[in-house]
Amino acid sequence: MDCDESDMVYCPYNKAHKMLRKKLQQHIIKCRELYKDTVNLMVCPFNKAHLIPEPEYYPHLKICDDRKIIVQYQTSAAAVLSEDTKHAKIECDENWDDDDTPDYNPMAYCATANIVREPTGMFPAQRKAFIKEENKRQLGADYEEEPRPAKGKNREENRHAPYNSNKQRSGRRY
Amino acid sequence: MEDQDRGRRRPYADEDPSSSPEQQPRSKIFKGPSGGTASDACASSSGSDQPSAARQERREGESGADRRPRGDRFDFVNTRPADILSKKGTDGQQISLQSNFFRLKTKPEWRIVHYHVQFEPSIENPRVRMGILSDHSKVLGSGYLFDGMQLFTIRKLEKDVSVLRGKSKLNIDYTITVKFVGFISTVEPRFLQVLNLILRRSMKGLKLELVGRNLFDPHAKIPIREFQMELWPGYNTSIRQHEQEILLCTEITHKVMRTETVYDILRRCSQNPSRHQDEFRMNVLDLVVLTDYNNKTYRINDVDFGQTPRSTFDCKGKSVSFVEYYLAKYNIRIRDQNQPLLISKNRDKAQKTNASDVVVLIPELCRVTGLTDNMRSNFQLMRAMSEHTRMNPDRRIDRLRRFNHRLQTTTESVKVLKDWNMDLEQNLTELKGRVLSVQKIVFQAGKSSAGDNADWTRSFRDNHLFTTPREGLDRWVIIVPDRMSYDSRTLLENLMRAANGMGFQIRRPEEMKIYDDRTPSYIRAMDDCARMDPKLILCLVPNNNAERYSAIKKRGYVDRAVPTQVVTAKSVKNRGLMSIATKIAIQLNCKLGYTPWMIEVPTKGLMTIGFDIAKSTRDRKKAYGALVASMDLTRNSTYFSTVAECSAYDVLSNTLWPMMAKALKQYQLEHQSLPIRILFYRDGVSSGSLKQLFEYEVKDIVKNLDEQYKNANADPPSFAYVVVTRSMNVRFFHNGRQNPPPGTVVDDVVTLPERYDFYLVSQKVNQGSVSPTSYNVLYSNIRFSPDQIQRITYKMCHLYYNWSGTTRVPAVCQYAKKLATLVGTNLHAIPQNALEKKFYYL
Repeated sequence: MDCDESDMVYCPYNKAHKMLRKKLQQHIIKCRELYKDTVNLMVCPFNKAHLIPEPEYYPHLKICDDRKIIVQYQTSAAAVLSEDTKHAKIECDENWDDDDTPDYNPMAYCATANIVREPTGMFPAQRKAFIKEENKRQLGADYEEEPRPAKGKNREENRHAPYNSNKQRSGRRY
Repeated sequence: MEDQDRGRRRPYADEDPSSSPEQQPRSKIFKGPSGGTASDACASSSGSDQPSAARQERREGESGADRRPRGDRFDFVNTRPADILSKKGTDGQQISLQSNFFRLKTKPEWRIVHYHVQFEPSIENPRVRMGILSDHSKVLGSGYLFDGMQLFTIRKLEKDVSVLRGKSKLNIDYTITVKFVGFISTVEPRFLQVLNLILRRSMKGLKLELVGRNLFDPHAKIPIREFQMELWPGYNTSIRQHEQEILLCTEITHKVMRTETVYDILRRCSQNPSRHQDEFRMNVLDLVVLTDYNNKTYRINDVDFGQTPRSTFDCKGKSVSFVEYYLAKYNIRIRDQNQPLLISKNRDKAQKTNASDVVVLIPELCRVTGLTDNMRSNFQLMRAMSEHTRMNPDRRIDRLRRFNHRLQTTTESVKVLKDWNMDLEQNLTELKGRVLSVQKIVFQAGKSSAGDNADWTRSFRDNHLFTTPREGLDRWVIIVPDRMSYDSRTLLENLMRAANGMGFQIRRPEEMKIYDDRTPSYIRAMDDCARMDPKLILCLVPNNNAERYSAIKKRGYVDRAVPTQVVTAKSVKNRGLMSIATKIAIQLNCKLGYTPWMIEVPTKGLMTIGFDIAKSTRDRKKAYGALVASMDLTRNSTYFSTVAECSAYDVLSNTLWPMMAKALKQYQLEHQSLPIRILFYRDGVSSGSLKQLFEYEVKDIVKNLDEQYKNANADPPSFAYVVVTRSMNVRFFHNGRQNPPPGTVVDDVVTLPERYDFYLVSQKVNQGSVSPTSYNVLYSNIRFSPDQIQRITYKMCHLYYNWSGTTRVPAVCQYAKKLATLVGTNLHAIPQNALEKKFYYL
């Protein structure tokens, strides 16, 4: 991964995906979900950015650069402090050891609150469905959006000669 | 195949949308009573719970409050709708605060109509498009918003598709097609986007100019003539959905505008032709410039002396010169046709095309913005600036009120607000916060209060440090240049006296005299004393030369494992030497692995971890991530630290788990068991990457933790992951003119509903307004109440040993930042393992 910041890199799951180096991590988060059944890349335990195909996995573990995080720890002198750094237990008025409170879940509050919610990280179809549900929940079950004009009509109006745009060509395949 | 791959965002397998985790739980909620308003939900007590239901959830293996709730959690909600837990704490004294937010009153029956506009033939410049469309304001109505592509109105036009005609200033005929896209209701996120656009339009009515992303007031500019610059005051506004209501956040900000263009810099450079080019290049590279005609900023990467404005380039098939281009497109005449051209690599465009797009700029049209490194190190300049930019709370409040007043009384802006039925409150939003109780600082023989100002520097006079070496500091070395021997005697005297007063015995060191103060002399002396295996090496230096400092630190921490302390002559000659000596003595104590003071931690088995990243100053592609972990602070007040190299381009950390595993191993070594609870504070990341943080870091840690604890036959771990950010926009004020006291917590009104978050003001500032720190609990199954998390966070801010007061972020994060910066700026290599339990980086 040693490249200049204006260099483009390839997605390890799909060579066709090309992007700026700084966007690589975000892209991998999305792509690994899509390709989890088709492309089998194993994650290096020393550095999550190393995605290696299965046959090369064990050899990689032996030569991975980031092994030194663990290896240096195991082979060099350990950090030892002398006994006088220890001290008696610090007494405190309160004791939270046995406290057991359920954790707050913001989504539970949002689901019933009168607020605008942001559907993050969803694909477009899910996003539209979410917004529709929210409209129904807050503005009444009978909230109806006016029917939108059909999209197909516009494309036909703008269509030039058939051999112009690529999109239309691939559209014809179906 | 390629086309399909590229654009496709839907999952490959045809997934039934209703079965995906985001969707399913929601449909379950709608069955329950949905009438509960926000205030009802928040009023419930935080402590109530059903122990059996709670434990059942825990056993399920998937832990509690992660962002994708499972089915059972919602059954729990349905059966007890009024008991939805609150994120508000209860401890501390109530305090009334004002914040820099204004309430926005909207009406729920609104609907905004959304249209798409196309021009035939197409026009590139959005301002020209807006100009032509404005001729049709009769048809569109007075309240409409057009940003060049999309049109928003309050009332629906007669037809779904309207065709209009217009003429541009150059007398060309255009056909405008306006197509209906849909409605935007008041509960959609796009609604907030439109509100922000409306506000921006209304602010334009105040004659503010858009520079970058915010609006600034050139009429109120503050000239700082001695340094050829102006400060433009401006506003950073954003309308967002907050805990219960939609609020407008307004922050006063300043833009540094240099009063010269790049052309002026060109003229100032030496006329000597051999040096002219190099000097110009040196002055101009890496500057950020603003071009007035399109209001965009660019970073200059190179200068092209081979071209002039008369050179031609290819524009849509035709060969056109820069002079002609700027005249035709922006109506600008370039005066000097012999100036060189500037090159900027436009990084945003690079995403869409395959190569990095290059933008060519004319020096005459580029206005210089921002501060150069030279300017930043100019103390007088920064002080002159900070007089205007660092505002006390009363000044800040005054500016905010005046902004609101202007907005609501200037005709143009009022008109926009009225057209859209937007009602903005006149007063700052008031809210209630709490001041957490003052903490007790634990010294060797007793406890002392931190005080209302969270500063316990005075306590050192009457108290001994919490732990010190039993035999004191013996077997250590001081390296002194010959001509500084007098200073070294003074320093040692004061050091020993200060340390003695705090119960820390410093014995006489071995003195190594060197005959000059050159770097190699120090290094050689350090090597020479290796024989005696010193516990610490103190170097007395004449000034804080960075190269010498780095060399000393590198020798001590990378090549060997010896803590080092560098003291400058200036410190020794200082009149306040006693207080400096006190600070140095505390530092020495820490570097040996001992603890100056502690805090009361009400639970055992808690490990707090802080993580931060710092860039390398030598190699732009590298960065260093540092992790600092506490042991069980009730019985063992030492810390474990580790650093790893990473890429400067990665926002998320790739090596987090190996570092955490090391910390856990150390804890196990010292306590013979794994921690019961782990509290992880993540610094060094902005709140824009929350979702990615969760997917990339949090999930990984949770999975690995579960595995590790299972392998050790221990109970599953309780883990909380808290994102720490310095809030840029949020401010709190007390009594209309003061900063809120340290320990102030705000967890309502201005927090975000979709987060488990709170603001904490932990530090005291003497100048300007304090910036609260934002804490966002991104994941938690730690089973602490919000109150306990807030209080333990505040406690953790008392443990930074370089400062006998509270810090802005928890001490573990501050340590991680210090360590990462030391490695990135001075060491450029990973320090030795043997130092991992000492505060060598303080």
